[in-house]
Parts: sequence; C-alpha cells; structure tokens
Amino acid sequence: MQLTLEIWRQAGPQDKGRFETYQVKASPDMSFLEMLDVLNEDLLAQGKEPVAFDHDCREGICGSCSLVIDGVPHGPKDLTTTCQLHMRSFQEGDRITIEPFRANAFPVHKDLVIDRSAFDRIMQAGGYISVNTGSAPEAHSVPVPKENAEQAMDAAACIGCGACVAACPNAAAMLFTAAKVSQYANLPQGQPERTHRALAMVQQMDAEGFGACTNHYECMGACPKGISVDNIARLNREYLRAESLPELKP
Amino acid sequence: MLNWLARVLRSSIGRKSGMAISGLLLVGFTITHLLGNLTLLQSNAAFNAYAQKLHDLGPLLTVAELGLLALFLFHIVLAIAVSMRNQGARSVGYRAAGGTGQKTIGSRTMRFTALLLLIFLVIHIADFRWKKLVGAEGSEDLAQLVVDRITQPFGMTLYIVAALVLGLHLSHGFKSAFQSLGLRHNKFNRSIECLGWALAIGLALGFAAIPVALVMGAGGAS
Repeated sequence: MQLTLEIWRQAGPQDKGRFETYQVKASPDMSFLEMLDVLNEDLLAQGKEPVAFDHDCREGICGSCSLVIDGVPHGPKDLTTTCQLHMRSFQEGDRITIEPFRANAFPVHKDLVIDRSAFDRIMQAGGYISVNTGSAPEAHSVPVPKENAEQAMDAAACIGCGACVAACPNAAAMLFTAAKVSQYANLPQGQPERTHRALAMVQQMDAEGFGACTNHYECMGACPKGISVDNIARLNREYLRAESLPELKP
Repeated sequence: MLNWLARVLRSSIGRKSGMAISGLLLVGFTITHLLGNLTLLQSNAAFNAYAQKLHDLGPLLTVAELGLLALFLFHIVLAIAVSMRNQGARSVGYRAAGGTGQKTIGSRTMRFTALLLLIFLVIHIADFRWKKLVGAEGSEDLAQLVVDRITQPFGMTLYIVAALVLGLHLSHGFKSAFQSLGLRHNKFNRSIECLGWALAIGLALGFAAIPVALVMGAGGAS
C-alpha cells in the first residue's frame, strides 16, 4: 500500500520544528513502527536523516512507543499501542499525520522522541512501600479482598506511556498519577505510606507543569491499557483524605 | 487553617475540589432562585410578597448576598487559575484534529459558557440588584420591573439564551463536580449523570419558560 506521511521533524529541543511530507510503500501486515522502519531505510539509502521515534519491546507492554497518529495518541485502534497497530487499520493512499505527544512537561528531544522523565519523577516522589524482606511470606498471610486486588491490578496495568497526557486537552497527568496511586491505595501493602504517597505524587505532578483535570475523559479513550477514570476519582479522594488528616506532610 | 487552605488551593486537585464545592452550592442557589421566580407566573403580587419576605430577613439577607458574592468570586477565581494553568501546559498544539470522542458539547464549551454566564451575571445584577440599590428602596413594583425587562424582545432573548447556556454549563459541570470530589462509584454514577441532566434541562427550561409564559398571558398585575 502506498501512503503519504506528514511527519513532525525537529532537529533538537531548541529547534522550532516543522512538518515534512514523505511517501512510503508498506504492507498491510506491517506494524506501524515497521512501516516507519521502512521509511527510515529509504531515507538512509537517500543519504537523509532518518526519523527518530521511541520504541523498545514492540509487543505493547513497555510503554516506550508514543506518536499521535491523525490526532489520536497510539492511533485509531482502541486499547492498542502504536507498536501493536498494524497498517491494515489504514487504507491504500491514506495521508497520515504523525506528531509527537505534546505537553510542555514532555519536551521534544528530536523529531518524535519526547522526554517523559517527568513521569519517573512522579513515581520517585511516591517512594517506597514498607514490606518485610527475607523469604517470601505465605501467600494467605495478608488477606486481600478480591475486588480490591482486581482494582489494584487494573490500575497496575498502566505502562506509563503518556498517551493520557497527550490526549488530554489540558495536558494533565491525572490518569497516570491516579493509576500509580491506586495500585497501592487498594492493597494492604500500600497502607503505611498511603497519605504521604498521595500528597507527594500530586505535588510532583503539579511541579512538572502538567495541567489540571477538567473531566473530559479523553485520557481514558486514548489509554492503550484501558485504565478507567474511576482511578482519577480515587486519586481525588486520596488527596483530599490525605490533606484532611493531621499527619506529617511531605 | 489558613495555611492549610492556601496549600490545598495551590494544588490542581485542591482547586478543582474548590470549584466543585462552590459549583454545587451555586446549583443549590440557582434551584431556589428558579423556585422563587416561578411565583411570577402566579401573579405580580405573589412575587412581590416573596421578595418582601426576603427583605424582611434584614441583615440576614445582606449576609446571604455577601456569601453568594463570595461563592461566585471563589468559583470564578479558581476557574481562571485552573484555565490559565491548563492553557500553559501545552504551548505547541496538534495539527490533526483527532480526539478520542469522549468530549461532550458541554465539556468542550465549558470556558465559553462560563464567560457568557459571567457577562450575563453582570447585566442581570445591573438590571435588578443595582437599580434597586441606587433607586428608591422598596417603593417600586419589583415584579413589574422584572416583567417589563424580560418580556421586551431584547431582554427576553437575553434571559432565554442565558438559561440555555446555564443548562449547557451544568450538563458537564454537575457530574464533573462529583468526579472532582472523588464521588464516583458504579453504584451511583448513572444516578449522578441522570440527576445532572435533569437539573441542566430543568433549570434551563424553567428559567426560559418564565418570559415565554408571561408573554403568553400567565401571571399579571392582578
């Protein structure tokens, strides 16, 4: 299939950047990233600079790939990362616009590669959980209600790709932070640092320059792991609970 | 306590919670406002009697009015703060208009409807509150003043449009307030959404119906 690509090119963080148009011949069986690999081989053969983009596992679990494809983070297919998106989702002769995830907290490094270390700093602010080390404890020694375990695991499905930020009209990181707070808030192992975690992560999220949630829920629509905005409500609860407790603040 | 409030209101979630609480209180006020206005459909005398009862509260009314003013200002100032932060969070926008289809007309137009409501509020206060403040206190027929204003073509259009804009604002605002306060659960999400729509439609149609009903002959000086 013959495709026309409009790709954001930016030499470095200081460059203003611009769109450039490319032609590429792809097979419907290729993944989106493989299609870009083909484009890059063409560019290299012509002696041109290949398009820089993030990727790692290419099986939808690492959260490295990004790209806003025709205005949608990770492209048109629901619950799918860019690397798992295949060209059969497009039509012969399509014109596809490819942009980086846009947020001031995610500055562009080069072309489509962005710096998502703001997410790492939010995680770091969350800190540790207190558990006994040593040999593995007996599995049933800490009872966890099934529903709580399910909710924690659903939240833990977040791969930290940043599509929620990219999709949010306010470039808010609420869904990500909510998932990271929820995965512990639901479990007994997360209780000792529960208050501190909610406060510190929200504080770091704000410090990174992400926007505030205005409840459009575009994040949930873009999330390749189907993280629900129920978690954002839980983060709001966790934060308000933490602020109303007379405990040590970070 | 003040330190605590200042810290909470510096955080994005704290600001949204503040907007949610003030917004819900304003919805409560708007409901009582509509119920009061409906007396106009009965007769001018009924409306004047209702107004008189409010005036008889004396200093309590002043306290209530100042509280209401504070509530509006709180909601507006936080909205401006949140909007400015959000505008500044993405300097370079997307070329392709995509989206994942979760936005609604209500959520999309929140800032716009907020601005329209603010403009309306200024006109509305100038129409009725300000005139009374500078005019001869209590000597005029308040009901007639209102009827005259909202039945002339410009006034009628203004008040009907404002009612519909309020409905649009609430179609997102009401359920959004619950989410911002963390009040979300599968058991009552549906009820909150339905209640939000019922309030949005009820308040919009309720306020818009008053000038229409008056023109069609409801109420009257008798």
